[in-house]
Amino acid sequence: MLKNKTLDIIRKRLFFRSLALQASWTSRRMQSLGLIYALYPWLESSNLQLKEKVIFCRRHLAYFNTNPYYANFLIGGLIRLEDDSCDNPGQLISSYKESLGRALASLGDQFFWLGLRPALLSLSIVAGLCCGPQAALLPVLFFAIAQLILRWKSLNIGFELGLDIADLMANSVWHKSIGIAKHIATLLAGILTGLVVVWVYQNSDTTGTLSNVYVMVTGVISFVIFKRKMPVEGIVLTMLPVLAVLSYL
Amino acid sequence: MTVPELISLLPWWSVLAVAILGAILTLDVTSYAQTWFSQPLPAGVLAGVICGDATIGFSIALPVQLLNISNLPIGKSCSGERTSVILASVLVLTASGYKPPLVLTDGISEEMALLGWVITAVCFGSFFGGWVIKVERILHFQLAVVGIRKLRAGTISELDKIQTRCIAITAARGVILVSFWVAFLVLLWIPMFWKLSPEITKLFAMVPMLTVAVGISSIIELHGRRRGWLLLSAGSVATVVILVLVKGLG
Repeated sequence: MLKNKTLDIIRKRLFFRSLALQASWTSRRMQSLGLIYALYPWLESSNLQLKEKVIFCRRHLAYFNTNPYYANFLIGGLIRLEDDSCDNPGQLISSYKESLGRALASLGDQFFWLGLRPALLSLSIVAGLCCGPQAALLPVLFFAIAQLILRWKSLNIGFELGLDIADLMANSVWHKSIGIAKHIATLLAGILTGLVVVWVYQNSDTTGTLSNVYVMVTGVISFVIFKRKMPVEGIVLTMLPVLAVLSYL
Repeated sequence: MTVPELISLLPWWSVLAVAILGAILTLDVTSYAQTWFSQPLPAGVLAGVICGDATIGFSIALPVQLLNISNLPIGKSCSGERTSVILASVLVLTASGYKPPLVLTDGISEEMALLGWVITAVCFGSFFGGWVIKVERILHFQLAVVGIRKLRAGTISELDKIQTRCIAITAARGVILVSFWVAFLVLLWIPMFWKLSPEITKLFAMVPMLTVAVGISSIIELHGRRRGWLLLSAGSVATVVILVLVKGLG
């Protein structure tokens, strides 16, 4: 079994390489090349023969996809399983990778993309508007440091837990944190909406309340009409002729 | 202002620094670390800090960020690329001595029209950047095929090199796109703005306000279901009340 001391030696390399999990993303194999790149320091330090190393690479070249922020739980766990490979057949390692990868992808996508990202960026906007442009960088800086710490620590947690990581996944904290992040994002969206309402009212003297209201209503209606049909940038470009008409009112 | 004058106002070190920032932030989008500094708002502010006016960066990036808060970069989706065109816009507008409006509903003015004109370029640029990403992914795929072939021959270290090459390709995309957008804005897009008629100028002054409306709508659509409406309404009402009490509505 790989000693913790050995893990300490390669941990920095594993960590920095795991940050590039999606660098060679392809639609057919997703993050599989990135995963092998991350696991490469372990492969180098192992006593495997060339034939076993090729089998290792082929096993991990199969389709693989997970959330990059939670991926190190899986990478740590995979190293533990590969290290005990005499006890763990390749089939077990592959199914561990697939099932845990899918679970982490689902939790991570909901927490980071649907909850935390809208909340944090709304906070950045509010901070920038209220405290000056540079303040907009602070929430992002906080996230950048926090996610790097999470990735660093999760590498060890994954290694220590191995197959027992399923117990960790069953913890209700994961789902509670998703709910809290979404609520905060919604509240901040409300604050942004309030700020816009006050802007429009405050500038009614210079541009005319009706002009502001026309454009705001046009924006809302155009989003409702086109939201499933094109990206938001496309909506803005599509509405330029409507703005041309409004500019004559 | 003429094109040669605008070119002469661009400091070479700023162009270099923003191109390097473009490479770093392009990697940050999906390839390395994903710290979210590559999101439109922090990217614009960072470019503004480098070029000497963070307010310009904030003004350009704010509407684009509002549009993209609810944009979800999950799985195969390729949702455009706006970082490079935002960086280039901040660089060019800062060099030209642009004075940004205080808020995005700051009336019909030439400054607001130029902001709307640049946001329009960012919207076009996003589609173009998305197409370039697709080309890059084809290159990644071809490299992966080569790597798998070498692996079958027993050359494991090749997979390691391929990943490094993919990272280099992505960083190069950042530098190339930033340089392309700087040239596009300086040689074509900004000079075109100087030739617009007053009516058309008025049209583009409305674009920032339109982006705010579309952006807020997309955020509400993302969160405003069931219990979300209560929080949305509470946040909006509380903000309006606090602002009225603190500053008044005048």
